[in-house]
This record gives sequence, structure tokens and C-alpha cells, in this order.
Amino acid sequence: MTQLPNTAEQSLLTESYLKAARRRSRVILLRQTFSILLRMTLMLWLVATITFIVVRALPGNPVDLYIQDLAASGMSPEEARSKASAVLRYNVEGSFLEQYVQYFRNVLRGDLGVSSILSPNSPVLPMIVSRLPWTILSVGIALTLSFLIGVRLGLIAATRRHTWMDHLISNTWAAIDSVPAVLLAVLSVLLLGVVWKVVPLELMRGAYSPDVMPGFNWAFVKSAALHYIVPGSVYTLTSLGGWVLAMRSNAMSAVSDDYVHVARARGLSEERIRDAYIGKNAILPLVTGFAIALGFTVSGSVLIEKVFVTPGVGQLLADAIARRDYPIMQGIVLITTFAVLIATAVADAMYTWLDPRIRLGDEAS
Amino acid sequence: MNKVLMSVMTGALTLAAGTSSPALAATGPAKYSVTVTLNKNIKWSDGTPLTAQDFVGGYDMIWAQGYGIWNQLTDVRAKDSQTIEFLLTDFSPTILRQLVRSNQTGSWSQYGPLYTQARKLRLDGAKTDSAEVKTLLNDLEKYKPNTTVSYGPYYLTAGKVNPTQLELVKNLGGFNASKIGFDRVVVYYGETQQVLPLLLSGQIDYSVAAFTPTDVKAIERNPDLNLIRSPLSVGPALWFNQNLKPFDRKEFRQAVAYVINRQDTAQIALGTAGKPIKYMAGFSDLLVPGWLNAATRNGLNEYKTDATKAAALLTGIGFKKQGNTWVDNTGKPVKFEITAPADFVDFLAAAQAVSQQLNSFGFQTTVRSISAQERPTTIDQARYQALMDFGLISTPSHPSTSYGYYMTEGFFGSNKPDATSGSKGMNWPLTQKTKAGATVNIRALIQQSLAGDDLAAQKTRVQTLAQIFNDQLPVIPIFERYTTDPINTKARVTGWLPFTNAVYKNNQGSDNYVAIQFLNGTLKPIAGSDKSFRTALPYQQQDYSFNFFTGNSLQQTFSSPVYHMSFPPLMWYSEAQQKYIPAVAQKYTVTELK
Repeated sequence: MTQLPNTAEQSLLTESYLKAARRRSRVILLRQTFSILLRMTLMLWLVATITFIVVRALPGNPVDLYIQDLAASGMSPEEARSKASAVLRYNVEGSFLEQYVQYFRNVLRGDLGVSSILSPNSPVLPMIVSRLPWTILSVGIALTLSFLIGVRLGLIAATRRHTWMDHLISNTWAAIDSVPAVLLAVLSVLLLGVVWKVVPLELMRGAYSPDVMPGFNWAFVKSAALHYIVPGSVYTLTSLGGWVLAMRSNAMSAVSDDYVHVARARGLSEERIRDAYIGKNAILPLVTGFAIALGFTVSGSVLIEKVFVTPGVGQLLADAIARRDYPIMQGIVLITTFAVLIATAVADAMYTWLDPRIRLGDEAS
Repeated sequence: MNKVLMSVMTGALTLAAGTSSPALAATGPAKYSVTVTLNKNIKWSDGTPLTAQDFVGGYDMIWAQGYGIWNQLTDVRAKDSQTIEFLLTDFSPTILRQLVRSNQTGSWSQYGPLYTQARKLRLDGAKTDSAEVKTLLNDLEKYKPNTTVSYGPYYLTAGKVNPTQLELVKNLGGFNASKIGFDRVVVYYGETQQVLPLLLSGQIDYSVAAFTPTDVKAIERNPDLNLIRSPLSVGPALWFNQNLKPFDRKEFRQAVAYVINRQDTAQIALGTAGKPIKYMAGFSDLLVPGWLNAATRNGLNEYKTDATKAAALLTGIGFKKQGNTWVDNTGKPVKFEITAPADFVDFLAAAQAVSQQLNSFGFQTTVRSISAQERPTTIDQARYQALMDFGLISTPSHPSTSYGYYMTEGFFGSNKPDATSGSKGMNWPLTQKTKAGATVNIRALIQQSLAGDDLAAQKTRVQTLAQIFNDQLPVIPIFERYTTDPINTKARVTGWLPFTNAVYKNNQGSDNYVAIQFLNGTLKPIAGSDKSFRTALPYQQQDYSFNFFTGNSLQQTFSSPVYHMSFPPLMWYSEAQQKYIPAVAQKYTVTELK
């Protein structure tokens, strides 16, 4: 007959078990961290390489496009070529391989090069960085709002399926989701600012009023908040539908799961079942999508920035593509990739935290 | 793999040939002298007087930057404080235009030390790719003033520039400042979609944005707004890749011209802003009376829509109509694709309209759209069967720009049948017969049509070119674009010249009619208004410089009229009078040196 350990021995065993478990957790954590870092590095290299090749394979070269713009303004070929020559000082030197090696050497030093067309000879990194705060703030806030409201509405629709509430929510957001975002933005400006005159046009142009000084002062914060209302609402509205419908669909599947029946049999309130059981499980697949979308916020929203005249990263990228400014295109893609990779890593961590099954699965393996 | 990628891989991607050369500055003795006399009492916005020395310095700087005008210039000097003298090895209307109309300058007070260095290097015989010139240009790049000192009635300064709007400040000593009643000029940032709401709500007095026909209807309904409909001197034409059959047959091209209804196509593509081409001379109809005599004009075939004539021409080259379909002399249906840039909405619409007309006639055509970014490569490599691209590029004051654009290399290598390797572009033969039966080389004829200051001789050559074009139709012009520039006549600005005034015959982008009215004091603020003039354009919102000469110069992103409010030209060109009229300069004289 096996003798059971006494209390002291039990305590020692527990402690050594816990130590081993902690050691195992640290190893798992280290292994995961190393794996994530390796994956991120490889992905960054891969994306940067593909971008480097693809932007150069796009039809049209920057000099021709610059001349094309000048020609459209009524300049003669001689004048256009002269001006292009004078202002661009554009000359790609070295072989493709040499350029590639040089590019990566510079990237490792944090140097993304200088703009060739949009602002000739201006360093790319400061150009992107100066536009990031507005882009992250504007798109990030709207995205977070649309996610929070969207999952809530989706959950309500799922738990009240086939009622008027479900029909109202799902049909309304399906309809709004099908309206092109740019149309809604343009209509907002025309209707609110020109036809109904309920919002001054100045509040739908730019991130703040021309007469306030950007900085940590009340006038600027107030102006920025007022200027954000319409573009923020448009972005939130146009991105809300996707979250509503996805959450509704996920929650509909969870509603009939066993653990929901068990919870109901245990007499838990409907609110608790909806939020803690159905909601928590239904939201899991959306977390990754939300995190990746957050990562993409650094590349901005061309829609908001273009229609509402807010010079952010999205507009910079659109202009760089249109004018073939290779260094800016490469810089924005690289920074966006980095942000998305970070966001994905955060999503992985959140997923592990939200869903214990994944954590246990890792430990078991 | 496309040409650009290949070029980058081999390190060969540089500026197009002929843009600049290291040994820039004309060699040989000067054959022409052009003197320009400045008006007196014009002051820069920092209070210093505008003198000939400012322009001399500016020309020295653009020598260092590699501007093409130095291929003809041997020297620029100040004869006295008001007189600039240009010495040239060659002369032509386009050279004159660059001297008296196009090239503005930065102030000696800002750039004097750099001007001095540039002059010394030039006179010492330095090459523009030398280390010394590169150092000078790097110093120029590093110079970042916080204002652009200007000699116009307004200037640009830090603190007045915002991503959504900027304000030009009055230069009280500037050109005509005392005649101009506006205290400031407000420039809103925006392209068409951002400008329209501002315009409809009365916040803009003038805009050069390209409005769609739908926008134009909305503008026309607004009682405060009027539309200026002036020539843009550009418009689409149908190009043919003459490496392919049957596009190399002039009879085929003539038949297509007879099939196309230019009036309908213009209306469909651009509404009232599209005027069908009448003369088929190869350049803007507006320039025709000035360049072609009555006999030549009357001898041009207008190619009025006529299916019978088209059928006769096709039958004459062995084509037949089988049922509803035309077949060529080998029995194959006449089938081709029309490529059109999707970004130029009117060009795409014109291509679709032409395609429908040709299909109704019995051809089988389809339309393929490309992005505007693909245009240069598409043209250079002749990656099209038929192409809707520019048929009019009329830079005042000479029609040769249009001919040069599609008959020779143009901007992007349109036609180069004599190329010994690579693409021949459109491949329309450069050796042609005149109406009198003489053999001419088109490239040489275009160059001769521009050479010297003998206008009568130039007109004779242009007439020959027009006759050859009209017979050959290397491209088929469709319509000419006219502006739909809205002006607000009720909010802040009054005094607009009636639309029948000759100033509206000027080109919007070149010698802008509103800029002229504004700068000569014709336009006045309405009594009780805030004395501002408001317009809009897509200027560079960030990462700009106030340095007049650098590539990221904010000033250089302005178009007319805003650009000319700070830097008016020495002279304007009047299309109606076909001559230069004084502005910052009183007069110019051209002397052939013996």
C-alpha cells in the first residue's frame, strides 16, 4: 500500500511542482517570444523586399509622371523637362542589387531615405512621423468606437434573434455597410455644410482651426474635438456594420452551445449569460481582426483624410502611389507592417488571456 | 518586367534625354540679343527694389540647376538697374516665351551670396555636374527661409500657412499693389471634391478645379456663380499604332475620321465644355486663323461625318462589308481595341462614344482603360492598337507644340520611326510629301517652323505641316476642352470683365484671365466686404520650404492665379492680340547680332 506524503512533504511537493510549472511557463514564454520575434523579423524582411520590388514594377516612373503633371498645367515639353531636371535631381544610381543592399543598410540605421517627388530631398521618416499622431488618433478612436458599439449591437441582435430588434439592427447596419464610405463622407459635407447648413464647413475641413496653435492648450483640444465629430462619425458608421454582422453571426452560434444551456439551468440571469457566456466566447474570433485593424490604423484612412482635408499617412500614401514616390511608399508599408505585426502579437497574447483553452493547450504541448 | 524596373536594375533611370547636360550653357557666338526693360518702383516684400540684377542672379541659379534655357543662352547681364540682356545662340517663339513670360526669380536680398557663387562658377567654366556646383546646390537646399520674399502684390510667410488654408499677405510696394484693393488673398486647400462645397456655400471667388458635368449643373443653378468658358488648348485625339495593319493606311484613318461624330462625342464626354474640332489642322482651332491663311484654311478637309465617304475609302483599299460587319482585304473583321486613360474621365467617355459609333458603322471595337500612370509607357512602347490621348498641346503662342507631341517624340516618345533599336512608338513615317509634291522630313519641318524670329517664314512651314496633317491624319482630333471656371460675382469681388472680352481667349493655365484682371486692378472688392479674394488649389500641405528654388518649394506648387500674385510675369501673352503685353516689364526688344 502506497504511503501518502505528510503535510510537510506535501508542501515540498507542491512547491517543487509549482517551481517546475513556473520554469515550464518561463520556457514557454521565452520560446513564444523568440518565435514571435523571429517571425516578425522574417515577415518584415519579406514584406520590405516584396515592396522594394513591386513599387519599381508599377507602370510609370516618377520623372515621367512629374512631367505629365507639368504638361497638364500648360507647360511646353522643354519647360517641363527643364523644371523636372532642376527640382527633382532624380537619378537612381547603382544596380538593383546595390540599391537593395543600400536600402536595407539604411533601414537598419532607421533611415528610410528621402522623398523623390512629393517633397524632393525631405527625409521620409519625419514626413511619416509628423502625420502619425492625427492618423492614429482619428482612425484609432473611430475604429475602437465602431468595434465596441458593433459587438454590443451584434450581441443584442443575436440574443433577441427573430425579434423586431434583431431585424432593425441587422437590416439597418447591413444597409449602411453597403454604402460606400466615400459617398457617405461627401454627402455628409454637402448636406450638413451646404444644404442644411447645420455644421459650419470649417468644422469639416482639417484637424483644427487655422487660427489655433497646435499644442497642449484648451483652444486646440476643443478645436480638434469639434473638427473630429463629423469625420469620426462617418468612419465609425461605415466600419460599424461589419462588426455588428460578424458579432451577431458568432453569437448566434454560441447561443445554442451546451454551456449556455447549463448556465441557464443554473438560474443565471439573461444579462449575465449574454455578457459573460455568449458575448465573451463570440467576441474571441473578432479580437484578432480588431487588433490587425488597429495595426493598419497607422496607414490611415484615405477617405477621411481626403474628403475632410486632414493630411495624414493615408493621404501621403495615396499621393506617393499616384506620383511614384518609391521611398515614401516603402517607408509607409514598412511601418504599417511593423505595426500590424506588433498588433498581431498583442492579439495573440490577448487571445491567450481571454481563452484559457489556448494557454492550457500550449502548456500541455 | 517593365522598362522602368529594367532601367532601375541596370541603374539607367535618369531624366529623359535632352533635359540637361553637364556642359550646360550654349557654346559658340551669340546670334541674338533680347533686352527686357523692367518697370520702375517695384519693391520686393522686404522693401528692397526689384532690379535687373535679381533676374541675372536667378538665371545664374537656374544655370546651376540645369534648366534647359541655358542650352541657348550664352550670358545674361544687367545693362542697367532696369534692363536685362539675354545673349542667345538661337531664337524661337518658345525661347522668347521662357525669357519674357515663364522664368520668375528670387530676390537678391535672400539669394545674393548663392547667386554670386553660381555666377562665378559659370564664368569660370564649371560644369553643372561638377563637385562645386553640387556643393552650391546642396547649400541652396539647406537654405530654409521663413518667408518667400516676392515682388508681386502679395507674399507668402510662415504663420499664415495651414494644411487647410493659407493667406497671402499684401506687399504694399509690390507690382501694382496700389491699384489692387484686396487686403489679402485666402487660398483654401482642395481639389474638386473639397472645393465644390466651399464654392456652393459662397466661400470661393474663383476656382480652376476641374468640375464634372454634374458639378457644373449644380454651379449653374447657383445665382451667385457664373462660369468662365475659355479655351484650355488641350483635347483628345484618336491615335493609331501604325506598326499594325490597317492603321498604317491613311485611307483607313481618313475613313475612321468620317465615321466619328465629333460634335456628339464632345457633348457626351464633356457637355458644353467640349468643342468639336473644326479645321482638323492638328492644333487648336483658335490658333488657326492666326497661323493659316484663308487659302490653306479653305483647302483643309473638315471630315464632316459621312458614312458614305468612309465606305468609299474602305472599299478603295479592298475592304468589304459583309452583312453588318466590315472585313479587311484578307477577309478578317475590322476589330481593334481603343485604350484610354481612366483618370481622364472625358477621354474615357470619348473613347466609349467613338467605339459605339465605329461599331454602329460595322467595326468591332472595345475600350480598355488604363491608369494615367501607365500613359508614358503605353505611348513610348506603343502598347495600344488605338489610343485616346492628347491631340492638342497648344502652349501659347505656337502650334508646333501639338505637332511635336504626336508627330515626333513629344513628352514620352510618341513617334520615332527612325529608332534603330527598341520601340518605334506610333511609327508614323517622318518622311512625307507636301501638297506640292516635295519631300520633307517632319522633325526638321517642325524645328524650322519654330526657328528664328521670322514669323512669316514660320507660318509658311506651319501651313505645310497643317496640310500634311490634314491629309495623313496621324491622329484624329476629336474636341477641345474649354474651362468651366466658376466665379462668384456677388460675395466679395466685382468688376469682372464681360465674357465677350478678348482676355478670355487666353489659356487658363498659361496666361490666366483672372490673374490678369486681378493684377491690373480690374477686379475690386465689393463695398462692405472683408476685402479678401478667395480661391482654392491643391498646394503642398506639409514638408514644404519657403525657398523659391528648391523642389519642395511651397510657392512652386501654386498654379495661376495664385502663383502670379506673388511672382507676376515680366509680360503676359495675349492670344487675341497675338503678342506680349507689359506687366512687370515695360517692353522687350529682339536684335539679331551681326
